[in-house]
Amino acid sequence: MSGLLNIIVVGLLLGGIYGLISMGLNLIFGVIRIVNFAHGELVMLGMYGAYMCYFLLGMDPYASLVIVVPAMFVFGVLIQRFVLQPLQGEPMMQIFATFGLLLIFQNAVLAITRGVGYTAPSALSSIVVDVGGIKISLVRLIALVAVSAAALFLSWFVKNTMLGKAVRAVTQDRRAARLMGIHVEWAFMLTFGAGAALAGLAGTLIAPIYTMSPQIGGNFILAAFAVVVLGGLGSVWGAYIGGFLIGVTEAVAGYYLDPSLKTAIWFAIFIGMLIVRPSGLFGVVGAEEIGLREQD
Amino acid sequence: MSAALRIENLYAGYGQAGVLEGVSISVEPGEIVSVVGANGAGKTTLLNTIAGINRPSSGRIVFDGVDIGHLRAHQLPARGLALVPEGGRLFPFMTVQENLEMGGFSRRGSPEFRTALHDVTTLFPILRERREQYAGHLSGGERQMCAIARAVMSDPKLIMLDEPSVGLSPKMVGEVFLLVERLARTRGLTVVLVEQNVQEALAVSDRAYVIDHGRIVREGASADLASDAAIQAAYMGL
Ligand SMILES: Nc1ncnc2c1ncn2[C@@H]1O[C@H](COP(=O)(O)OP(=O)(O)O)[C@@H](O)[C@H]1O
Ligand SMILES: [Mg+2]
Repeated sequence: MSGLLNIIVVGLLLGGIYGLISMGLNLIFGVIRIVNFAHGELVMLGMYGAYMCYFLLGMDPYASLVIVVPAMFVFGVLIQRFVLQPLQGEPMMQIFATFGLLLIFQNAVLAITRGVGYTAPSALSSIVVDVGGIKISLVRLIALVAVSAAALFLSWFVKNTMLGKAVRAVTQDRRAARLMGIHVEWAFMLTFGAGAALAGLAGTLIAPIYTMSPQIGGNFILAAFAVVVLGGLGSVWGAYIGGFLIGVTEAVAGYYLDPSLKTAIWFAIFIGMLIVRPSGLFGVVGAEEIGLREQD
Repeated sequence: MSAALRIENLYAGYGQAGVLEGVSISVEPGEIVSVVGANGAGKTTLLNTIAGINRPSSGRIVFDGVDIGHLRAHQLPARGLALVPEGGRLFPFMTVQENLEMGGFSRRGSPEFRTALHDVTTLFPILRERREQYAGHLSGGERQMCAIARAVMSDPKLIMLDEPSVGLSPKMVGEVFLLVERLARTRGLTVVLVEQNVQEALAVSDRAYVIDHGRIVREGASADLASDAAIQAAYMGL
């Protein structure tokens, strides 16, 4: 019994990280209608950013958040402005462009690091907390708290601020949003920046946990796609809950069946969900169809 | 008196295809002017070009004394120009209240923003009842009301309406037009009303233009056009 409980906790902690990554991916997809294939690489860049802060400045990864997250926000804004915006109105080209970014980021990091695996150690890495008899590493617990805080903040932001509402308006009808005086291109830049910042946050938080490699983003992106489809396109809480569901499923299946099945399980969930309920668990029914409508 | 809106020899279209072929229109402050014509005549293209969604290929659009032909759509609400697009185009998964707030986006943070929300719901009592509902769940008439109210939220000097009567019952059409008239008369709002429903449009407007294949073919006082045998035969099925 406590064995299963342990596995579920492991899954929840993993799911927190998936949720964080998915939230940014989902935000970008929901608002800009771009599938950002480079999202895993943004996480990877966040990890290496944390490493650089450690290597150059001797910073603890948790301290480097104040540098990495804003830097990734700016980086995201620049990607949107100078790579994706020139291709606006050509969705296929935008998808190819994000795939191009994926290759560039991977290979640039590979060239610079020559493939050496780094970790960014944190003073907190060795701390284990005991929650009702279950031992949880503090760094994973922090990731869990961070995803909860990010979900709370995001859903508060889009519900309660004019800027957040404007982003929702852009999602639902770009032309009408323009007629309201909303600068749609700015909303896109803000959104891609926020998505990249979330990826940077995720990357920094897992920097003390995983050994870095230029391809590490690939480990997360497939799970993140499954999370987005499971939770619902464009839904913050969908990504949050979906992250936990996928994390727990992966942990349970990995323990009782075979860890190497995890990719197959992601895809089974992905395809099953698309057939049964394309709006996802938490998406508004019909909202996914907005993506199919003409947007200008 | 200087015109609220003056359009001079406007050409616009989509890619190579020209739609507007030298349209000239002038609207005085406080007037209700209708632009009527058959489906495909270029009415929506005309409004979208004025609103900055389409780019003019030549000609001038002078609003409130300023040439706005080069401005983009998001820059116009702050200058006092609002368009209620065909079908209303509300944000379906936002509440009525949120839709109205978006209408006031160009003057968010100003002290008038809150009072505007109150004023508008006084003007459109039905929207107060529906405040917390998703706009996508409104009936056709409510949707059109909400779209007009949303445009009024930006405190426009001039409001353009693209076929507000489409899909509404005759009774609702009457209500919507009455409201437009009241907006113009009580708030001094200038109105450009585009319609295929020629009879109703001529009844509510002061002056009218008839557009056909991207050209203005008639203009005059609405009452005169309404009693014109050729107009009656061509557009009113009389
Ligand atoms: N997005 C578009 N792309 C190409 N042609 C269009 C587009 N929208 C309208 N048209 C064409 O422009 C002409 C005028 O259309 P429109 O301005 O919508 O007329 P109306 O509003 O009077 O019915 C029509 O021939 C129509 O087919
Ligand atoms: Mg039209």
